[in-house]
Amino acid sequence: MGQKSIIPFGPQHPVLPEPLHLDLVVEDEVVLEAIPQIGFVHRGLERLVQKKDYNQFVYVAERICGICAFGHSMGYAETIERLMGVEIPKRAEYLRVIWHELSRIHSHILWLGLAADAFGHESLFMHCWRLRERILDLFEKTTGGRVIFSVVKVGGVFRDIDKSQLDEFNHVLEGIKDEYSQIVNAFLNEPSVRNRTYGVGVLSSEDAHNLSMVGPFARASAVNYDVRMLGNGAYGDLSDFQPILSNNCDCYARMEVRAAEVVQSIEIIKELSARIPDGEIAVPVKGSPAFGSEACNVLEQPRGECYYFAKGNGTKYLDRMRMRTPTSQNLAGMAVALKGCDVADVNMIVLTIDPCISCTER
Amino acid sequence: MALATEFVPLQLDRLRDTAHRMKDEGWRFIQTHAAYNEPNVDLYYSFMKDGNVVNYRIEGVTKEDPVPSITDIFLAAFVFENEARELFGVDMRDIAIDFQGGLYAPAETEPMRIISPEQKAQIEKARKAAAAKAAKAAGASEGAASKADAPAAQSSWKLSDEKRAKLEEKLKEMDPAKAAKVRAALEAKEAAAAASSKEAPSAAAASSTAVPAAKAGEASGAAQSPSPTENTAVGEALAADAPGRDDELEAKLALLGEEKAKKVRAALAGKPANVDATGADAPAGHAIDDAELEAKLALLDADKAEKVRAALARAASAVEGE
Repeated sequence: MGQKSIIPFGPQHPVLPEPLHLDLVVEDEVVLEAIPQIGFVHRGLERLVQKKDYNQFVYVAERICGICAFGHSMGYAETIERLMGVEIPKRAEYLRVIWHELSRIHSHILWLGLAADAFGHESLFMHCWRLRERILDLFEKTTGGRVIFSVVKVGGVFRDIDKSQLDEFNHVLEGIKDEYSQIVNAFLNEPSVRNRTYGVGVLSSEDAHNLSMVGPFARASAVNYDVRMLGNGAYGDLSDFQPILSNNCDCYARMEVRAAEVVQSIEIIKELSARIPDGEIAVPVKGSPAFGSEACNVLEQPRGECYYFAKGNGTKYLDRMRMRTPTSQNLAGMAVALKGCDVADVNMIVLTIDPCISCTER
Repeated sequence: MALATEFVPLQLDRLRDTAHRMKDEGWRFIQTHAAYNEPNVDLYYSFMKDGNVVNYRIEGVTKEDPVPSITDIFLAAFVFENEARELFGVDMRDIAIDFQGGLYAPAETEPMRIISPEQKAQIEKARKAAAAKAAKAAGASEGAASKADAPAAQSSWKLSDEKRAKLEEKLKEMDPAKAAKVRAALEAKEAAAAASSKEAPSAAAASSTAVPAAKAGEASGAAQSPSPTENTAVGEALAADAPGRDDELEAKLALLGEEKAKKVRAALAGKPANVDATGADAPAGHAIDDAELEAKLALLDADKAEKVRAALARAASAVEGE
């Protein structure tokens, strides 16, 4: 029996793209307890809602995170539309979902690259990020931006995607499928990768449900929940949508779920671009949210369910804006998954929740 | 399955019982957050099940109110409870992972409670506008009701319990002095309506006796158009509501600034004097217009009002010259 000691993990660590600190209570290289600590990049963006009017805040929402940028602007705009009773054109709903699914593809491929980097497979990391660049090219062609897009507004979207661009989307996405399947094959079938991920960081299905986990982290523990299945916006027009689940409950399962979700997103874009209706892409929104009005909304971000809340006060500034991001919800699950693991596996487990600390702290 | 959301009020002492019940019923915890509702804080606890999002709202949590943690029921709440404490000063107790104020360690204490005077003024203005709009809407709906059944509506004017509760909520947010004035005006209106209701049965009786009389002469015509007797009865009932209209004016004045309200009252007080001054042969409508004009002028800047008065004087002297 060894002596208990505390190992500080982060906020600066090769595996962490963003600052997260863990106090790891260890004994004989086994983690007994992990206490998370955040607060290194808190920017008070929720507070900023009182200084930027509800239209300007779309751009602030987008800057909460560099990876979920589009999702945050979309989730925020949807919440304000609920608050003010605005119904946006169907074409705008389709365009939003197409861009949002494209964001999910680039986010998941980015994560796969980070995972490869975490277990030391540098060439796999580079292949993932090279592929991701082609998705970012599509964003650049249709929005003008590669990270921040600024195409969402309250009432719809600023830009349309014409038929030729949608065809190009499908052409590029079909084109990367083959290359992507080779990369995924390395992740799922390479023995060295399996050794690092299989049976590591297990979070049982029951725990995942009780701890209210969200996103691929929860679905890898067989929690059958994905906000997209509620059919909000254009998701409601999909012929079929089934969340991708795994029963393995470990790091390998989380990788498996994300890998499959990329293909699912490609299929969603293909289906929606084939049936996108013609028409307006925005409606004018006038006035301010009514005094005392409240609305909430949920959106499936690449990392999981994100909750938005807005409260109006009769002025063009909101009284309160709340964004509960997936990572803040998953921190508790991560702390539980870390219990009993080897110190060497901590980085892999932390990474497989795909932590986004900028989102969490806002 | 579609997303359905609702906001439900909750008492602070029922928080933990509710959290236990939600867990037992299989609801998933979404989040907790605080919202500043000067001078206190509202706490929101959100849960989801089968596409339904329920947001429990605990209103008016003071700095002194100890708020029990629900992290022993839903561990995921620990970040949000620490956040509510640091940013809003909520007295959270027994958090499973307690950062003791070191989560964000903001430079200012309770930064989310700070509101600039400009913001405060804007919100207050919007609050007044919302109250006035609500009062107008209530007035319009009453007007519609009175058109449908004028004598009955006039004789039984009284706010429903639901409307009264809503009004009371709004009044609580208003300046106490103004709220007292609105309450007094409302009571006066109800008293006036009650007094008129004593006359209304006789008016109703008059109309009910008039209809058979008319029926004896011309049955089909009487059913479509009111008889002269009926018209008189309705007129009396409407006349009985006149004090109520004054009360409505008082209620509106209460929403104005004290100084502006005083000017309007002063202008309106001059109305009978004008009638007397203009003499018996002067048209009454003219005197009323002057009073209304004065009331409107009182709302303008002093300079602008003076200019308007000068222009009117010039126009009047031109007419006299002719």
